[in-house]
Amino acid sequence: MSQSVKTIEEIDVTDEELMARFRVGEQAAFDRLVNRYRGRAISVAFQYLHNMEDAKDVAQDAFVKVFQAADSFRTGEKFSPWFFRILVNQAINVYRRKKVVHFFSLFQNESNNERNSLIDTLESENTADGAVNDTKEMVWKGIQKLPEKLRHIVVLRDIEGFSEIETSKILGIPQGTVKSRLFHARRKLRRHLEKIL
Amino acid sequence: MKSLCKKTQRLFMFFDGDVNRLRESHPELADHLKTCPVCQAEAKKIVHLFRFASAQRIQIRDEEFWTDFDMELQRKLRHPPKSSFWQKIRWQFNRVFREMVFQPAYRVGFAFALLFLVSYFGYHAIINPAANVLDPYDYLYQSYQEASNSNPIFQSFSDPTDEFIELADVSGEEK
Repeated sequence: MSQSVKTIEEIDVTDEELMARFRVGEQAAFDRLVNRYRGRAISVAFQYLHNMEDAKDVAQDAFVKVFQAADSFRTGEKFSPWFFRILVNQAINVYRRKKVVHFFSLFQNESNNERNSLIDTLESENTADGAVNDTKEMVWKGIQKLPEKLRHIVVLRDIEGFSEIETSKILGIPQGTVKSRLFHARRKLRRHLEKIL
Repeated sequence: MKSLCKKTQRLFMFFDGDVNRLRESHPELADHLKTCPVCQAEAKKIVHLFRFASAQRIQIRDEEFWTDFDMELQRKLRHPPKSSFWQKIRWQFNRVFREMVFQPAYRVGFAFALLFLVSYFGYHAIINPAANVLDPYDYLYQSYQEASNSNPIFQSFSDPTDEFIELADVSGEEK
């Protein structure tokens, strides 16, 4: 198996080719896809859930679904929007379930604290400056204040850097809706962040 | 917070922090940005906004984390979590009802509503435009006039208003 991984890594193959190979039965192709997407998958899931354990679970479950539903991946389709659609749906389901639990929970600030500690530990080398941390915190709070629908767009488009077409495919909404929601989201976010801009 | 320039709104829609991309997609807006100080100030804020937003992205470089992640994923792939009974029921419900019943029903309902609106307004606008008046009293008055002019039975009756005027004359009251 390690030999086949090497041959795949040597050649710069596309995601769709890897998927085709995996469907034929090449396990190494799937491993390569996981390596390619795991970082971004965790990041996207974390933006929705604000909890590293949940984000990890959601990312893994999304890969399991890809593994199980590989046959439903149509040839000619792009892998990235297909995969992130699975991931985002999974994350939204978990988020909604958690929201109900959080409503009855006394520990409302747990997720925020976790995020702060995560930023401190994982990104300490980049964020030595306290002012930068404060700004990040303010932006984070500004994003959290947005309505759910607008937040999804900001997370995918502005934080994760997906294109408008990709965002519309991932969320399953028309491109025009992405544009209008993005416009409203940015305007609201700008209003929240008036002080620091 | 109303901007002095009307194009600032469009800038919010199409500018994603990259002027070159804006020049490709909306050259007129890029040209405007060169000359308009209001939009330039707004563009600077948008660039800042993007920088702050993309800084929220999380990058994990901890090797141990990824080793754990891969091991756990392998375990899940070998023993995939089984969906519960209710999850299966919900999935079946979504598949059967939402995809096969509700969505076609919405489409058929929408088509019928559209057909009704087109036929209703089409009838009133083309075949019977007289019924399309805004004031219902006007419409009733017109109908009364038409009926009284064309129907000989109506014409045989005397106008009740005339009778009232005549009576008023006899009693000496004002007309």
